[in-house]
Amino acid sequence: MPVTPLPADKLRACCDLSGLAFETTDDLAGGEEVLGQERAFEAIEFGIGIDHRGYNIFVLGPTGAGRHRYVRRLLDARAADESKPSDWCYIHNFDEPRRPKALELPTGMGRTLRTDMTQLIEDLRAGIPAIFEAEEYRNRRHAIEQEFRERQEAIFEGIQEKAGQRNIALIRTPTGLALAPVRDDEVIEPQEFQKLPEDERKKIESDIEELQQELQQRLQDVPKWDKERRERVRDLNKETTRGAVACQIMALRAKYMEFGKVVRYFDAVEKDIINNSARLFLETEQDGPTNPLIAALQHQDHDGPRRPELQFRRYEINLLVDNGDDGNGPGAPVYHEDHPALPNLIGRAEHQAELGALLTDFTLLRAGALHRANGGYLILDARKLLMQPYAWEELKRTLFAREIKIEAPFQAYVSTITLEPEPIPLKVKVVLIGDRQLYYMLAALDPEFEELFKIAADFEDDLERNEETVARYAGMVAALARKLEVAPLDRSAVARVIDYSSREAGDSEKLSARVGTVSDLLFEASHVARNEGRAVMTGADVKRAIDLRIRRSDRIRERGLEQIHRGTILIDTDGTRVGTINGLSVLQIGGFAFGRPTRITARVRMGRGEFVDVEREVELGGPTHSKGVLILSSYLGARYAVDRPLSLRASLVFEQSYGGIDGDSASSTELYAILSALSGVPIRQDLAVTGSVNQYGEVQAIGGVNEKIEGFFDVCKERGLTGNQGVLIPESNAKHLMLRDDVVEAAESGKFTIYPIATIDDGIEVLTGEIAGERGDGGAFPEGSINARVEARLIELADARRRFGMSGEGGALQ
Amino acid sequence: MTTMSRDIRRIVVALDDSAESRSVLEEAVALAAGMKAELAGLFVEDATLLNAAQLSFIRQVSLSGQTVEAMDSTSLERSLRGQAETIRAALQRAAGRHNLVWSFRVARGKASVQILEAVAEADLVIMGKTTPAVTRYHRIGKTARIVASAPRGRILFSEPRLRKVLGETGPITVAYGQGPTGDHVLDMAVALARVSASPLVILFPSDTPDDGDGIRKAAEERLIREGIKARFRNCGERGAAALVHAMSAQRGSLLVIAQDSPLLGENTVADLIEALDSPVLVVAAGA
Repeated sequence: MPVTPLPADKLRACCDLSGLAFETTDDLAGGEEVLGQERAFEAIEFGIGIDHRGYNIFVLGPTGAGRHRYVRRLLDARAADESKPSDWCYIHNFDEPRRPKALELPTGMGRTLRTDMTQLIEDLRAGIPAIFEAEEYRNRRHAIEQEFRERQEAIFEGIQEKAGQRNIALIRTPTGLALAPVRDDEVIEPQEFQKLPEDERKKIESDIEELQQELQQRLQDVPKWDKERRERVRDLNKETTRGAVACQIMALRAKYMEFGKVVRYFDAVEKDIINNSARLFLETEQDGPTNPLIAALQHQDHDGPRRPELQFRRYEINLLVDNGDDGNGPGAPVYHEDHPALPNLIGRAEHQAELGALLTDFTLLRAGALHRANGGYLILDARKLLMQPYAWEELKRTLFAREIKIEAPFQAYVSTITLEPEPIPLKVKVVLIGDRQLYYMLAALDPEFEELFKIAADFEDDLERNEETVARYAGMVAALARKLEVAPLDRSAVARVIDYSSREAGDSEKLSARVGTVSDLLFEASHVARNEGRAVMTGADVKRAIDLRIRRSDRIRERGLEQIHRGTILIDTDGTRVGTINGLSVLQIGGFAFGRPTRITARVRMGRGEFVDVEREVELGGPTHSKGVLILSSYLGARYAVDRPLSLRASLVFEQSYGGIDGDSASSTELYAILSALSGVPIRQDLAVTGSVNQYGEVQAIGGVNEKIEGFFDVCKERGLTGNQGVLIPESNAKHLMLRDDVVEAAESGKFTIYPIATIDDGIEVLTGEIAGERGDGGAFPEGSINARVEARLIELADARRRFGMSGEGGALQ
Repeated sequence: MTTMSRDIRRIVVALDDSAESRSVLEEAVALAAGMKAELAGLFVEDATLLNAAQLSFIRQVSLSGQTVEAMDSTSLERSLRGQAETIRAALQRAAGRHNLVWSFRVARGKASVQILEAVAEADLVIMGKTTPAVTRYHRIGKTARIVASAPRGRILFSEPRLRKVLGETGPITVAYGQGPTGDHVLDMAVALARVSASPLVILFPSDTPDDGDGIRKAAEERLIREGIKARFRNCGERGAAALVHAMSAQRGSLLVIAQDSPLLGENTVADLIEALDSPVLVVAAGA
């Protein structure tokens, strides 16, 4: 039965919006922004609902399917009903400064505590020096100092007095004290000393020796007294400070009495201030210029701000997570970390350069995404996460440990002083968003993955196209137009977008679920419409936007067409040839796919049933392509001259193909070429063929059918459409047709034909105009049919081979 | 800039290796920068020490009393050279920060003699009230007392032990008496008040109301010519104690006084320096 070409109305689905009452998308209210993802939605909701360890979610699916948008919307809705988590602060650990303490406070109280501590220190910075300046303190301090001076001076005065009575002076040397004989208040010069009588000299030396021993003995008491003086001054300072600090801290203790850890912190602060008051609160003043005049003079030279006083940092509150005023409104946090590097994930300790060294303290601890999302939800991009060194491993470790530990990479191996902050308990649901390949790789290669991400939410690539989904899709387009703030679309524009979606899905019975692609199209079409001065997008604007998109990407396609047109690449679009056929392939360059014809040739000769796939021989053919070629061998051997060995050697070549080839979509094409070569019946060159074949000669569906048809159509159109040109496609691909307007129009006017092919026999008849032929009752093909000629040729080759073998030369047959 | 401040073109600062001396250096550098004057450092190798080192039986006891060792000239001179180099480096650093023209000289002899000799070659000499002494708490050192007793030039006796604990910079205070020296004292105080942007307080004697009014009037006329305002305070009685009381009442940062100021009463400049906790700039007659 002859093959019936596909009518024009079967070459693409045309969107029918007659059931929807609207003029523009402004009339379509309440559309959804994501369609066809019910399975994924259910999975996400299920995952969010389970409050148990390991029930984190991996959202997989194609880019542009609205995964982020939907996940965010769902999490926001869920989080709004949940309570805001606590604030978290880091505070100084007065016992072990390297291990800052974490402090949990009710929402908003972290900020209050920080303000209170800042105020406390400001008050003390003013109050403590004032107390130390007061007459009472000065008098008591003076008394201590005076006592020490008097004790010390008593030594020297006693020695000096004794020495003076013996004409000996106590003098200061660069490194200590010495006793020397004097006369008239001056040290006796050596020459004069030598002139003294020996008895007098000996007496002086003896006196000096005696005084020196006494001096030495008494000097040994000075350090002890000085230590005693320092201790008494220290005790006085503590006592003085205690009075100023106690009442202020007491007020704070009362305010935070419900929070034991805060109260204990105040105890430590009080103790530390009392112990260090003089050093902390008076040091800067005491280290200043010694003279008011100098202070005034130096002040004129340095008008800039004073250097920050680092010594007060220890009393700061590092408000790591402030949920009291995070700008996110009520509810649990939903945090999306766009750059999930390790420090951004678990937080970090920053450093400051100080005299050439990098130093850090608890005030330089910074929150990571896990801190910000703690008590709520954290959204991460799986690919970005996996590309960051250590980030994935640390995320897993943190989720297993259920506490966040700020730690620099290699901290365990670095010998410099760093911090070990107290870990913060973690309760967060992590939502990873990634493509399917990543999900399957993680599931296969990382044994911990499935323990931590038990929920997979798989987004679809497409959805069914029917009356109901088309109506919802129109609503989605309307919702997107409003959200993206592009011009509204009229009916024709919406229809064109929906048809484009089917083309993107590569199926007239499907719609693409990648809303990202639709969004891009809306932006571009809106731009076109506005350039044309239209406030509403029309179908023409959408078509123009699609054409412009193709135009931007099809430089390579045009160069290919040009080479065919100029005869550099040999493609015939009329006439006939034996063993030569136009195959079709698809090239994907960036985001743009296009089809182009390739000449496939077949030559046969006597052999042992080998099929030489030249592409495979030179390693340009992939395994799927080789599989298709092997099926041909099986088909020929099983269909023709089954009682004889297949005695041919066939070679197949993709002419002028210099890149790799894979896929079996040309296997039917190759078979037609071999049948032509065997039968000697020429094949029409005004036709091109695509489709794979099985061992029974059934033609099977392939991918990229639209691009392939359009690729051959473009070549024919360039040379002029004759009305005989067309493409043979698998019958099962007919439902995938979403061809360009110009192809459909050419088909409508009879200038281009699409043949749906179910079997090889159907195809060979279209290609040769001859009958393929079925075996009759006697088992033979009708005389003159293609199949009869093929079989006859194979029998002929088998007989020849047999004869050749009997002649004893078979061993040489290759 | 006043006439007086233009006259201060060279400042000599007497330095030793003590912590107090570093404060004196800071003060000298600040003044030299403010007055755009050259700064010359002077370090005196004490002849008394060198003599003592030549007496073989003399030992030095460390300040902790832990060690006793012989004093020999070679090691003493090495120590003194080391001290001089340290001081020179400190002066170089301090002067470099203010782009000052500076020099440094080492002299050998008695410190008081060397400082008084330096007065002849300087417009202002700065020295600490206390030089290294056996007892750290003497309010005035022997050298300062000798120098203060010799009426020469302008000498600022710095108070290196003074620590600014609290409060703002106080005013430059001048003990003013009529006559040529009194005018020089006033000019010097005006110059210091200008460079330090400090207020000026003039203390005057008023044994009789007529004298007090006359002195005040003379000072006012001079200040009008300089275009500077000042507060006038009657000093009440004369003598070091009265001046100390007045300085305390005014929270004065520095006192400028003539060597022969009538406000000293029966006391000497050395008595005043000893009694006062502030730096004192002494201007000799004819300076």
